[in-house]
Amino acid sequence: MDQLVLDLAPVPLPVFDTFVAERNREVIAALADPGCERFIYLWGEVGSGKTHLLQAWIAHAETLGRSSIYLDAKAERLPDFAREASFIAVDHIDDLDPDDQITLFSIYNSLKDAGTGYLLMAGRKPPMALALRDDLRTRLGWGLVFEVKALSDEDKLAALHAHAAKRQLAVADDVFRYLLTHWRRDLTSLIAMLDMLDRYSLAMRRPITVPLVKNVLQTTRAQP
Amino acid sequence: MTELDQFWPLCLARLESELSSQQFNTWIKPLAAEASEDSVALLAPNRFIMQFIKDRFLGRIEEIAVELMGEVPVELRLGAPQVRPMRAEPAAPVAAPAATAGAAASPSALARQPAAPSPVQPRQTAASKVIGAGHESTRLNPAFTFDTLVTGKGNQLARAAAAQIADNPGDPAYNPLFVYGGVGLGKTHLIQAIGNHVYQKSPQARIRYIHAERYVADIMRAYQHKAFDEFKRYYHSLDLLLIDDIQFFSGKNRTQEEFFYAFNALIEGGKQVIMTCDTYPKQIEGMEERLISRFSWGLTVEIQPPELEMRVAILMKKAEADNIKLDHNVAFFIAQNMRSNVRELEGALKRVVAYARFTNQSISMDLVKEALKDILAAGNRQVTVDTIQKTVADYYKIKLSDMHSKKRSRDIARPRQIAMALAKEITQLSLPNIGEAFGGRDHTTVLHACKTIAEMRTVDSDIAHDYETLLSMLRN
Repeated sequence: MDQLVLDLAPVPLPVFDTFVAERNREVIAALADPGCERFIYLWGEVGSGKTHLLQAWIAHAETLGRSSIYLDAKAERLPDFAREASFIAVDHIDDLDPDDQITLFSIYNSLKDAGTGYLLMAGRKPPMALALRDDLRTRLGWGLVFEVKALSDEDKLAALHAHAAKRQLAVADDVFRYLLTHWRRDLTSLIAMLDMLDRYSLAMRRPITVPLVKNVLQTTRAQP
Repeated sequence: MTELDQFWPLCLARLESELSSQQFNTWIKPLAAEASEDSVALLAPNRFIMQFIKDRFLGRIEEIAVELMGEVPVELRLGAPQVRPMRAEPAAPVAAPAATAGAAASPSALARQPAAPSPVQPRQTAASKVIGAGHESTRLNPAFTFDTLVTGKGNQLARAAAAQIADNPGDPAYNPLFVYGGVGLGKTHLIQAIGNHVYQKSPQARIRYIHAERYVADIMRAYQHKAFDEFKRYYHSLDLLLIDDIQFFSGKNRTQEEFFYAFNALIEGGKQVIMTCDTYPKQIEGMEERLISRFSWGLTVEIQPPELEMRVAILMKKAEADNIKLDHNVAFFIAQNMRSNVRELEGALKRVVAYARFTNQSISMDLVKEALKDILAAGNRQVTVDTIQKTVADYYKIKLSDMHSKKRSRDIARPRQIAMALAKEITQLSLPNIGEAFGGRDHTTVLHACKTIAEMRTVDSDIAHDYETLLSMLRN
């Protein structure tokens, strides 16, 4: 019988410190600077860390004691009351449906008119390549625009090590290198896999080694 | 005959009366002059200005020189004045230009850069100090004034009309004012400038700026809160209503009906109504006919995308407002690469400033290239001749095959020429290559097409509009 695993794993709210920022220092600097532009749009490929940045920004706002809201256009409709928050993060801009585009347009305009409040948005494409309403798209390009650059393999290894250390896991470097070459390479998937390996190793009472990883990857792949 | 060392002040005065203040400030003012015994040398602060002067203005300067001094050679070169420069503020300009929105290129303004460690200074909001507290009820942005509005070919007509209205709101010849044009070209700035001007002149006037989308939401809320009479009373009592992006009313019948009454009440009472829209009245979809016809009662003006020179001026103005030191050649580089709208242009400048602040460097050409690397890479997506042909054919509702055919009737040949001119402008293809792509035509045919369209764009506003629209469609 498998060992049952209590779900005690800490769910850390992403913070800027845990963002491996080698190639994205400038983005962090802009996000953490209160005197900076109030409208920022981040773009970059899937798994480059945009969501992490948005959530870290929200956490940052909370430590400042400011009202903040994180909205995921992929998962929910944008609520109109969002405009009342001082820090508004809108993730997955590419997935905004036409009505939500108007809501975001309106939120943008009311922040602009009010002269206060911060809006941080993220999507996969640069503003001019987004399939959005013209009036919204040009507004995204009006503020500060940054490309969030994907991590290099070394950065990913560092991020995985940091994540493992936080969970007090002793994982050898070769395990991570194996994951990098045999599993999806974006950090979101890699971290999720590390969490899964953690649960698996507890349940099986086996340390996380390359053979265990092989085993897990095979069963994971077999699942639809 | 004029003494050589008096030539330049006189020449400046002359040029200032001939050129727009923007052209004058951007290009002529940075020049310095040095007189020697038998010639005059004009010194341009950088290669970029030198080239521009050579292309556009040197001929005229030489003419003036001949007129004033006889046959004296005028030499244009790079450099700063050796001794005390002859550069002076022009002696009593012949006619002070009415527009005060000259470009921000004055070297003295740039020299005022304080010696702070950071290359970037926080923005000053001088405008907001001028305007008092009652201003808030207008919902106008105090920064949007005629002074801060850069004028160029694309908006000079609209600006002139706006200035008229700002002085005489309610004049039936201009009521309503309907301003239309693509996104991010400064419609909101223009109409708010009217509002701010009217407010400055008569602070007691009841002015309200509102975005159409908010107007729709307010009507809904008024219904829900049974405060509709109040809503109505408020809008019917205004002296100046500025309503932005009227296309948001499309398909909203209840809103359109309410707006219809408000509109009539205001116009009949001699109150000014100003609207903006992304297209001209007849083309708004989902709008009641009676509203559309009323929109055209007064004056309808278009705002077109800014040309290169104006984009440079916008950047210089913006930089000056934010106390940023920006060189002409740098502004030129940004303006050259950000073509479609002003927002994108301002966004690029912000990106450059943020990068300069981050790396603690001053803004140089290298820094700009580095800062805009990702934006430029994203913008340089290759547009192919096929895409151009298809877009143009769709736009004019002709067959794609007509792009290659031998037909020479006007309704087909003109779009084909436009497509060729666009191919020349957007792609890197040579003229023979473009000819090849259009059914094996000769390169001289392509050249002729480019010249024809360039000429027509200056005289035929329809062609100019079509061309700009297609250009922005292809660029996005």
